[in-house]
Amino acid sequence: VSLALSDATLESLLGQLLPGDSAFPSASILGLATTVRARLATLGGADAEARIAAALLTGDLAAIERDRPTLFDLLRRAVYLSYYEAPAVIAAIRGLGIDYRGAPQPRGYDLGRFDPAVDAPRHGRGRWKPTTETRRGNA
Amino acid sequence: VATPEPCDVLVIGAGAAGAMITRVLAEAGIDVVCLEQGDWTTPADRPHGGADWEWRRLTDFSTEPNQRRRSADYPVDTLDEHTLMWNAVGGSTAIYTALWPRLRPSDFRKGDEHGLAPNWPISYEELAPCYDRVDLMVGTSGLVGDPAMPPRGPFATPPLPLGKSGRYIAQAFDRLGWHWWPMPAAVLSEAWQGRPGCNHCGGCVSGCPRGALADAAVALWPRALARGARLVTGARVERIETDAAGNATGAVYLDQASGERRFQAARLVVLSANGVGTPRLLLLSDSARFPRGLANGSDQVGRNLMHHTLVSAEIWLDARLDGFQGFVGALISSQFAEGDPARGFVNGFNFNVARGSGPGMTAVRTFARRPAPWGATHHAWFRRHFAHSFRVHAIGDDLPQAENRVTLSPTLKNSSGLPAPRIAYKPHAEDWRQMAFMRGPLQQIAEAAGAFDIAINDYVDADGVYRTPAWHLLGTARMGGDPATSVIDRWHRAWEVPNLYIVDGSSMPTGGVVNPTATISALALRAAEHIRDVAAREPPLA
Repeated sequence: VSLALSDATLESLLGQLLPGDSAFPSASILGLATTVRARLATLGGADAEARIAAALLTGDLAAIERDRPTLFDLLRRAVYLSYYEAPAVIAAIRGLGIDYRGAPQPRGYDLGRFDPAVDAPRHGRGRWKPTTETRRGNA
Repeated sequence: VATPEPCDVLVIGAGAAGAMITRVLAEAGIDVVCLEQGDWTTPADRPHGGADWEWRRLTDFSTEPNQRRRSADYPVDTLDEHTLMWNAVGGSTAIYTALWPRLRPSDFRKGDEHGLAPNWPISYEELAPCYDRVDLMVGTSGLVGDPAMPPRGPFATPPLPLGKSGRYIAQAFDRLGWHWWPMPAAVLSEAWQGRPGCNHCGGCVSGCPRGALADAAVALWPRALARGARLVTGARVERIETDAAGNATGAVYLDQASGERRFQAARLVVLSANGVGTPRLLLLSDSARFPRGLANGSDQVGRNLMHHTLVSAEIWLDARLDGFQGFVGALISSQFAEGDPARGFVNGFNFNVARGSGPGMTAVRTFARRPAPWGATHHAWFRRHFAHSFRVHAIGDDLPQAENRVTLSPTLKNSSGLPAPRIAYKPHAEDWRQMAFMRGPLQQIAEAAGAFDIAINDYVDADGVYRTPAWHLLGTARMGGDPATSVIDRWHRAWEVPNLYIVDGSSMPTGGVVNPTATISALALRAAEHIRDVAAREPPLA
């Protein structure tokens, strides 16, 4: 019998892994189930979801983390990476005062320019050994 | 087998070396064909514009062919490492970090320095003019005057901005009294020759859709094609053929679109298929005359594989660094670059200081190998860690060893039935001592930066096996002065096949303490000009 995670079970897992707080939404309310299912299959093969479902028959998430760490890691990776690309989560990050924009392009970021007056090293440290001085005993 | 129109020079592989050679020869009016098993990577192909950009970095834009399994890729049979390569126009420059430091003079003289690795048959001084010229061909950025390196020519553009992360980390090195310098980069800081400057998006590890980063596909190929070079994509080379006299006559390849086998005849062949693909193809090209593989009478093909030693640290600070912004390489430190046996090992190492990650990668924490906690504590953890980290990669000169090698897999094949490369790689005892030593300075950097946490990744996995990311593929068809211990001479000509040249990371007898693409490119320019000026005037080309 092939096991599958129902939407309700998967969303419950999402909420347990990443519950909400004052700034961040719970992963259970972001509509991530379809994405997470696909990613589980990519990371762990077509039966990854069934293996998680089977493991849940005998234990909770903490038990899977303890007893099936590789399987748990698949789930965690799929969920974390899906969560942090959700628009509501990016908005929450920006709400912390961090100028994170999600997809890197096309906007990129403004880092200003290299300012020689400020940024150029003035320490004078560093050495290199010339070819003619490279020999045994001359460190 | 179909037979396209013969050419003067056949180049196998369209990466950093193959592109450079093709361009130089095409500019000289030489009829050159390049066979590339992959295709072009368009800006739209890349992950940078999508919400799933971090996910794709770990999947279809993984640096490991065994992970991403694209149609152009061949599998790699190994349990010893996570081999990086990209099979496309531009080769692995399609997804490299474009860190662009050079070897140092002593890197060419390890035989004189300690004898556990060979001297190169050329010196730094011979290669230095090519380094300078390459920088102005591909487009670079950086700051001249580094006291840890010989004087050098100009970069194409000024240094990339240090940003708040670079400035903060530089202060940590200053507190230690250690060398640091803005990272030399094959990334434009401002518009140059029709290409735009970097907009600091932070997605460099998946290449650059803008063309600011010197992927050979944008930095070299347009001019090569404009000068008449013929590039054949989707061309999976199966073997190099030779005649009764032992000269290369061309290559048989599978046109992956049509399924047709073709023989591209040429009067001179250049093999530039990277430090794994090159020895694989030489071994696949065995014959009655070359029973151990082409150019392998010395049994050196595939041996002496080097990747660099590597220990990485992820370091977290109370200060906000916003390291998800900006070019991945912030600084370089050559404090330990020169070898010193008093440390307990002979070779040196550098620090490549890299910026932090996006939020998903921060939570997954692939570098630190300590994923963020789940449950009620996750968000507090995230607030403390995201945008508060930088990474330091201690990258050292590993010793060439005969048993670290590329052979042909007896069991694993690619999609057209050709044997995959099998890779065996274990660090030398010297390398282990060096990697153990690296931990101390990494801790010192964290302390000098005022870190609240540090995670050191020594790449030893749960099985106790060192499995390096193998970012750099070096040494497997090395140049030398003795045909018994090398595969090619000082001009990259195969000792046993006078019209076969081998130019890529496999050519390097030692790896130095830096990312190798600047050196591979300089070697390629030097070899190309030799082919243009000397080999083209000799039989069978003349």
